[in-house]
Amino acid sequence: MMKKRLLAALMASAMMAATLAGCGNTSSESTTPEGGETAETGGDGYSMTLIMSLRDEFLSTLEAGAQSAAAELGVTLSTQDANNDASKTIQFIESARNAGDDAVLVNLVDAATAQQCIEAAGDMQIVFVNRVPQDTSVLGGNAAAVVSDENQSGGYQGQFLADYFKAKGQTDVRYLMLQGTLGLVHTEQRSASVIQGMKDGGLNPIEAAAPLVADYDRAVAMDMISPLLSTTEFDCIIANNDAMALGAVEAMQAQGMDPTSIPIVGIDATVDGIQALKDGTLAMTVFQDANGQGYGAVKAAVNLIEGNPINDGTDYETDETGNIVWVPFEPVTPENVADYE
Amino acid sequence: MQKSFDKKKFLSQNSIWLVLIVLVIIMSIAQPSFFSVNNLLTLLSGEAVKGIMAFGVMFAILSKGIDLTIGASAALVAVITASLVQPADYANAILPGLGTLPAPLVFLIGLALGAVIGGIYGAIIAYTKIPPFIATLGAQLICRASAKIYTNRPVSNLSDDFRFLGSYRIGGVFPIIIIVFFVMFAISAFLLTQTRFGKNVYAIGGNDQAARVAGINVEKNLILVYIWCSVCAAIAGMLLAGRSGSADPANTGLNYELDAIAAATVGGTSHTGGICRVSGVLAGILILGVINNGLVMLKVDDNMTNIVKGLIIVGSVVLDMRKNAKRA
Repeated sequence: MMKKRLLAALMASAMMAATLAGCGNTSSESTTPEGGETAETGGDGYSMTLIMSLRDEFLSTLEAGAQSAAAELGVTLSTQDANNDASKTIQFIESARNAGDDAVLVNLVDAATAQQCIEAAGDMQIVFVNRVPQDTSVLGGNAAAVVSDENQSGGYQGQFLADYFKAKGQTDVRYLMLQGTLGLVHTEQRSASVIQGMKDGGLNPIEAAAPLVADYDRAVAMDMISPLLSTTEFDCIIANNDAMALGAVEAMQAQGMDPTSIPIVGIDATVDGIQALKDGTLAMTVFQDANGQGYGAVKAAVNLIEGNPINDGTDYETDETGNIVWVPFEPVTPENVADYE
Repeated sequence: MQKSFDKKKFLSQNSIWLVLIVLVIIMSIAQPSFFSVNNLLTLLSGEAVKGIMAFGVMFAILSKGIDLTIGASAALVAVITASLVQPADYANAILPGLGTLPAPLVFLIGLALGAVIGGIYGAIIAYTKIPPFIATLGAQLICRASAKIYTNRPVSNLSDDFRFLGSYRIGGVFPIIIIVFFVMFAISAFLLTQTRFGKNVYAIGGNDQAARVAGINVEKNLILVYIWCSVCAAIAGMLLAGRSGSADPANTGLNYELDAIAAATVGGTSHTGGICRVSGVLAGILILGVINNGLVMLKVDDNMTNIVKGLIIVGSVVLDMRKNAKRA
């Protein structure tokens, strides 16, 4: 009987060993450096870890951009998913440091924890990607950020709506707004900048109902907006992202309303969003260059290691401190949608 | 004869430590920097929070129950206590004007809060006899929602005193959270093996009718079990906030109850009640920690990490069921 138990324990360990060995192999295959352009390292590329807040569609595109930059520059890049857990982010940073990485690319779960991330990174270079630290004064030295200016994204939505309603000769515009997760900097900036954009364009935006907080989720947005559709007077629907905009489209269709009758605007230009734009159900969206952010982040990390300006070798501009690289947003309408497919 | 019996028993009871040692050896060979002091400290400080939750939930599992609330109650305690240690002049403060309360007082408030939360659903479980799975599922939803009602944004900029247990490193190197973890281990071991309460929980998990006949106050002890569980969660929540410097009502402790239950389960705590060894649970925590940390060091994709974790959790229970069936 003892033998049996021992056998079982040994077999379990052997199984784990086999699984682990398998994993080890795939990772070493996938991370073969391609002898990059970073001449100073003598072909022995840098090692980096990308830590994502969550592996969703957008951040997966960002990951792909980072990987293509890594392949080009001979950087060994691996990815970890912190599952929306700020504590896990720090854990992954510490692990990367212990494993001897040269840099970490951090997509913050919580913009307020940037300082802790920088401390955990120690001597490593750290590049915040996609989400800017709440307090940008923590940047500098071995820390930089590669992000898009979220005020720009809402601004484009506002500008579009202003043009749309001015062409109809209407200035009082009642809107329904679907907001992303509260507490995130980009939720606040997107929501505020679209209203500002409408005002700047000469409109008088009027809240048709209190903003709905749908956590960037399509199904949640659909459920939340449904009861308002038949009971509220509104001229347009503004969503902080495409997923929620599409939720609004679904909700209107489910109630037999025509989503093309009013402008519904989103942000992100996801694959679904682009399709809806072509179908006419979405009036416009704003392209956030996920691929460019990922690409720019790896570039910035290499530049930090080598002591170059962080936007060296890219077309992107930096802010006045030189610590933030801006990856521009681009408005997408039926006229230019073909460029984003 | 006697000697060989002891060896057999020792091996069967501690086979989990063998698995741990084998895993550590494999990881160390595959990635030599795994077995560095720095990395072991990283590993332990990362698992400390879930480990402390596991020390709580193992009592619930031992009593033939479960506690799904702990991740959410950790979040609720974390956001409330964190809001008490923000500077008064901080623009994003949840309770502007209150200022920073002394950390020991806030810790006591957090512990009391944990005890009250656990006491409430513990009493519901003990007196209504509804399944603990259902009672704690309901409590989980209520705690998470309460945290989100309390604040809709992460609570940050916390006082250094409050963050001490979660983030301070002795000599800049040794994380104090590891000491907290082992203190909680010692307290749990003492409660389980050296007190009447511990023996009562074993008895209730083994056969609650027999326990009642033997004169054990089953209701009182069940309430104590869930109070302990919830106090562990409260400690975990405050450590989490201290460690990351922020308490997020939506994401702090999200799904941590599942990791804690997994650790207790891998550690040989039987879901049919009455069987649990604290040392086994410690090994279970460390095994999951070695996998979490080691596979990251090996640059393995996190999806693959979860597949390995899943296999280990299921495999360990299969092994345990066989072992326990033979014992019966």
